[in-house]
Amino acid sequence: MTENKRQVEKLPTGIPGFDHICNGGLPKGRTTLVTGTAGTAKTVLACQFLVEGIRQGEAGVFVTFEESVEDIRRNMLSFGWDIAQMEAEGRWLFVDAARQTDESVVIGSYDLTALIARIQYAVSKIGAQRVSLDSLGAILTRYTDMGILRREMFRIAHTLKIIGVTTIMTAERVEEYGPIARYGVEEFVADNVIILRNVLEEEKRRRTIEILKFRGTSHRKGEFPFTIIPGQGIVAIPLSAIQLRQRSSDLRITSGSPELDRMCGGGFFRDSVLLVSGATGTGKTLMATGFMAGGAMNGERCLLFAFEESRDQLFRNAIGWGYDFEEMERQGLLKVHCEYPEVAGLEDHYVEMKRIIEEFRPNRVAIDSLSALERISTNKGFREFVIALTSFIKHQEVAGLFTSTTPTLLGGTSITEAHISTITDSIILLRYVEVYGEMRRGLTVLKMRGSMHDKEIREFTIDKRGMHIGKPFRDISGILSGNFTRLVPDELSRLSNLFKDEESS
Amino acid sequence: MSAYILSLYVAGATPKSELIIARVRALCAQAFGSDFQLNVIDVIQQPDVAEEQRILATPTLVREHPAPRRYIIGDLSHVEKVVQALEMPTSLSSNNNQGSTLTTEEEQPYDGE
Repeated sequence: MTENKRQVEKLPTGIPGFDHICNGGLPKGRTTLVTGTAGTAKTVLACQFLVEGIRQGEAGVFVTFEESVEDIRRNMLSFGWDIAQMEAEGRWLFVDAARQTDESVVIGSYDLTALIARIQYAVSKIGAQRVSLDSLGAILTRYTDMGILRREMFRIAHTLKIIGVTTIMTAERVEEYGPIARYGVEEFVADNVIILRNVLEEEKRRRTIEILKFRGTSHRKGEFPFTIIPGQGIVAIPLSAIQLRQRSSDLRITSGSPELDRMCGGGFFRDSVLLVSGATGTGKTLMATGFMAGGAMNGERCLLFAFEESRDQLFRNAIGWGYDFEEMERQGLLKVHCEYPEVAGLEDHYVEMKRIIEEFRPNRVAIDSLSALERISTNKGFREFVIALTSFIKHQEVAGLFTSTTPTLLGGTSITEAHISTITDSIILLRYVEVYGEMRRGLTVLKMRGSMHDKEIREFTIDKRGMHIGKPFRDISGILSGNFTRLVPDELSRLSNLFKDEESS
Repeated sequence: MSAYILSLYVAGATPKSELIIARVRALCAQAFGSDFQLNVIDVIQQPDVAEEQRILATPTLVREHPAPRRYIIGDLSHVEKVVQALEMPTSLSSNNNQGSTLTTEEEQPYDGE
């Protein structure tokens, strides 16, 4: 979506995901205040803003009030940013305004003209287009006269605007949800305010970025999760910024089971996302395995993310059902990525999965199970993750199959389902059915967007050759809720007559 | 070499700058006689020097010699404090009349520190 030309021009920052949230980037030629409590990655953002600029051929000036130049150079190396090298190439210039050890006293009134002159000098020296000032709090503690400082900060912002650079200023906050900045003067200096948060929620840390205001131009509203990745820096995850614009195809692909294909009206759609929900042991991993094998058999590239079982287990299981994963891998048609959910935060998982998908370019992706990832996140975080991932997969135009474990053996739904049932195209339920004291398995296609499908609850069995779908459970009702009622034949025929009309709709 | 070497950073050739230069000169002359050297640096003209010396505020008076280096930020409207901060010979601080003549009429002691 292009903005009106007369509106404020945006400068794409190059920070992954961030420009999405900003609707294109930071307002060009203006000052943006970035505030956050301690440890919210303000300095990282301030540095990355320059680094990404330098990658795009725009030089940058970094004004540090707090950390020493040497510390910044060293700390940013872990993100793969060799600032010393950029300095040597004349693309990065420090203005060192960090506190000096020498004694100093204030007598009478003063201004910060020297600092402004130095910034101007630095900008013109390397032809900088981006400037970062980090952080204002440090200078506010050094000089105590708020009146002078407020005036001087306005002058700095004004000067930067006149020389036409795009600026990020950072400032501290005391609380995650409180005043915008510690001294209450910072936010009035900038046209734009961005808040970084690092909130402890349900014992889990969650980093978010929120654009509070962009004067005269649009941006996405609300908090967006982000993560910090070694070798990469800040990666924002623009959930709702993702547009549901993917093309949809009516091309059918096999589920790996001819019987299930028949139930689904000829197979899954090529770029649909499917949710398989069931209690533990109902055959979800088998469904995922079959889905992979079905693809590989047709020469499609398949990618399996496994969060519950180890690689060895998965491969052994597959052999047990008659699928040779090793051979598929050898042919380059299959990639299995096993990981315990706990090894990383959800945002990190998201970024990693995205990277693997982009690298492997699969035709099919299966996640077994999606609900295992619930453990490592808050409800809100998980919902955002699922939405982001689903949208991403849909954009890649690949078929996705996610499994979800229901917490109870009989009936029930999971959080995963509650979050994603509306964005998945199809839902398949796997349920235990108790018949005369025996546990059997039932399967039903609950929803299949854009297609006719079988509406019966059918029994299915598992053997050496995978899954087999059999006859519908005719004389039992209440399978989905787990409250079984056996029906006598009379009642059955009466009921089927009763609902005949609605059935066909 | 002079016994005292001072650097004064000012912003532009303005009356304000002229005033502070005159004020520092008078103060030094009074305290050190002729045994001092005062370098005036205009940060607008020489931002590179300001950069090198990491000066932020103007005016800033730096005592370069004798060590240790001392920084005084502000328009020095409070003479006793300047004398104290620069550890000038005490003869001046006892002479309050002299001190006040150096300051301008709208002098307001700065008490925030």
